[in-house]
Amino acid sequence: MSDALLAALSFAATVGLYYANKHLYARRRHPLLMPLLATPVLLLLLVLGAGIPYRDYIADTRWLIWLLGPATIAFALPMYDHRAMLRRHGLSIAAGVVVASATSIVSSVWLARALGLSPLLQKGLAVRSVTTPFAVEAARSLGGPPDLAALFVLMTGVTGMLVGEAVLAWLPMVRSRLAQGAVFGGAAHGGGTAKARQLGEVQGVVAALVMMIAGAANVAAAPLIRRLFF
Amino acid sequence: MAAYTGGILIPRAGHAASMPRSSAAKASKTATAAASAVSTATTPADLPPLRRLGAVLAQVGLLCGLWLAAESLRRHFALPVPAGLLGFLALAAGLFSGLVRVHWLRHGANWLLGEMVLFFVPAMLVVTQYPDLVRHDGWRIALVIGLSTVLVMAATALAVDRVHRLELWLARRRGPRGSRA
Repeated sequence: MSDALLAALSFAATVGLYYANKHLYARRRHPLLMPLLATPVLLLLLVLGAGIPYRDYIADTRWLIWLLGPATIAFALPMYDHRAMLRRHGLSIAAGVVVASATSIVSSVWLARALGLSPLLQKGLAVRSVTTPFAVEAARSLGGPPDLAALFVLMTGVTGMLVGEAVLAWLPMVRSRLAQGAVFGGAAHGGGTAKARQLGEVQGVVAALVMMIAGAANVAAAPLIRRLFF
Repeated sequence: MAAYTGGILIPRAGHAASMPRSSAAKASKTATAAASAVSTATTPADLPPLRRLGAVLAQVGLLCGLWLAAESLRRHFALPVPAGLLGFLALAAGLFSGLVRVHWLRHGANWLLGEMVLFFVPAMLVVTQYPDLVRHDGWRIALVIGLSTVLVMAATALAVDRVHRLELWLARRRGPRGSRA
């Protein structure tokens, strides 16, 4: 089979599998059927099973990854939608963004170093707690691997969804809805925001705002992170 | 004057005074409006399917164009800021200043944000390029992510809880006068 045909088929399989998965998940809301998890796992099995070289797989599907760029710009709309909350609780939201980002970057890099992971992985892990489009940009300007960063972002989102509520119950001081939302948005971006939305509307909005602003802040701070750590 | 709405203290009079282009009546509703915006923002307004498809395509094209413009600006002036952030800041500035209307881009933005999983799924397959990474470093990476996530949650909770209390205290001091200045 020619490379071009293989690339086109890979693209079709990715899009087809994603929409089939999404359709199925809308009917049966089982956590293992989440498109976030099931689609990449099935694709991985398909690509490994059929022996498709990564070079051929990514040739056309990289245009899907490219759309993460315009998606970062699209975040300006929901941020503007929530401007009332932003005005009223700007201080708390800013505190959430700064503390969550700083803790995430410092602890990820230091833990990765302590465990003897390579500088490349340290860079990928540094930006793992912000939403994918921003993480990819931030990893790029750190000189890290954007695709691995996307993988770590996904792992972080799933971790945050799994442990979030347990951690909130265990922490004695999280009484305000604002703090609950900030915890989810700051630590686990999209996955956390989905979880925060289940806790309540205020939590959902705060989580979304912290997620978006932390994303932009991480990209803006990438040169500084690079100078401080790498 | 303050009202409890959804457990969050809102200095109502001061808030209304600080909001341009909105009446006091509207401001009293903003708590619920803002809270439901997350859910409403993700479901596009009612347009016939074909027209909605057209709107999504045109507006996604517009957002892509914005990204390309930001990228060429970045290249031309050798800016240290990535195109995505440049475009995000420009669009935010446009929206907050009123130069750009939300409905120009609503459908496109909803589509891009709603289908984001599709855009990063291909990036996941990069693991096939790093078999050693999965075999040797997999558990270490998972450990870093797990520990760090719990740390981030604890630190954020502590900080936001303190700052929120400060915010309430400031609102109470400012509240009775009804001005934010």
